[in-house]
Amino acid sequence: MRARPSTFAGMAVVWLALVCLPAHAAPGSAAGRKHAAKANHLAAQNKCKSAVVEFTKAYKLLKDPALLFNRAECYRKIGKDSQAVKDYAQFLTEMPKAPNRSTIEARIASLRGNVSATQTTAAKSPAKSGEPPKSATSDAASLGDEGTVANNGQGVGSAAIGTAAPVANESQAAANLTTPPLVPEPNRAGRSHAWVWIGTAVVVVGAGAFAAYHYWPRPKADVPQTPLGNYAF
Amino acid sequence: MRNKLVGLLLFAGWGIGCGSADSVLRVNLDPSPVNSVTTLATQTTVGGEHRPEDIGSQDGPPIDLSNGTSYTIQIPHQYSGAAQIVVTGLDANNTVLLNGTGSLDELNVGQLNDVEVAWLPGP
Repeated sequence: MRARPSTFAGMAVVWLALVCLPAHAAPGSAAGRKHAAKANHLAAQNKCKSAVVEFTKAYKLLKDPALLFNRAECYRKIGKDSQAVKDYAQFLTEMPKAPNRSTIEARIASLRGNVSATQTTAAKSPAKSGEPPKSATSDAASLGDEGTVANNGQGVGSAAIGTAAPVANESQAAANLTTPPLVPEPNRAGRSHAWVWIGTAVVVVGAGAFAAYHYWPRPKADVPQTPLGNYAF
Repeated sequence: MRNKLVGLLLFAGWGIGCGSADSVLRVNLDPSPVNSVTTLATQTTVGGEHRPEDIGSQDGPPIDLSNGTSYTIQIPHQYSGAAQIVVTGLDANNTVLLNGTGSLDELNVGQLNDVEVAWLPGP
C-alpha cells in the first residue's frame, strides 16, 4: 500500500499553510512593517517629526507596543514631552513585564518634571496679560494614571530648575536616539524567518527521505529456492 | 536550531537505512494428479494491487504438480496488507485444467510469507 507519499505531501501542505496563511490573515501587516521600517529609518536620521507620523501609521496596523516606545523616543527628542509620557505609559501598560521598565519609569518621571516646569512658566506669563492661569496639576492628571511615578520627587526638582531643564533633556534625548531601541522590532521578523527556515528544512528533508525511501537500493530479502522460480511483484 | 536539523537528518537517515527489506511471498501449490499443465497463469494481489504472472509456457514441457510445487514472488517493501493468490493451470491448447486460490490476512513486510494454494474441484 502506497500510503507514505501522502504523508510527505501532507507535511508540505502543512508547511505551506503555516507560511502562507498568516500572510493572508493579516493583509495590513506588510504595510505596517513598511511604515515601521520607514519610521525607524527616519528616526535614525534624526527626522523625528516625520518618523512620528510613520510610527503612528505602523502602530495602527501592527498594534506592536515596541512602536509606542520608539514613537515616545521621537516625541521626547522633538520636545513633545507629554505625548512621550503618554506613549511610554501606554507601552508599559501593554508590556508590563518590559525588561527596560525601570528605565522607562525614570524617563516618565523626568519628562513629567519637564511638563510641569513648562506649564508653570506658561501659567506665569498669561497671568500678566490677565488670562486665567492653567493648572499644572490638571494637565499632569490628563497624562494618564502614572501618578505614582510622577510623585517620586523628580517633578518638583525639575520644575525648580525652570527653563534650563528642557534644553539639557533634549540633548540627552538626541543622544539616546542614536542607540538602538530597547525593544527592537526586528525580533518579530527574525522569528518569522526562523519559521521559514524550519519549514524549508522539513520540506527538504521530507522530500529527500521520500526519494531515498523509494529509490535507495534495498538489501535483498532471503529468497528461498523453489522449483518454479522467483518472480517480482 | 542547527542541532534540531541535524537530529532530523539523522532520524531520516535512520528511517531510510534501517527500513524493512522487500517481502517474499512463497506460494505452495497443493499436489494435483493433472499432468498436462504447461502454464500456470497467476495473479497476485497485495494491498489492493494486482500483478499477473505466467509461469511456464503454452508450448513448454508439462509442470509436475504430482507432489506439489512452489514459487516465490518478491514484493517491494512499500506494499502491505492482505495478499491473495489466484492460480489457473492451462494445457498446451490453453484449456483451463485447474483453478486454485490462497490468501494471507496480513503480509509480514520484509519477511518470508507462505501461502498455500488449494486446487478447486473441477476446471
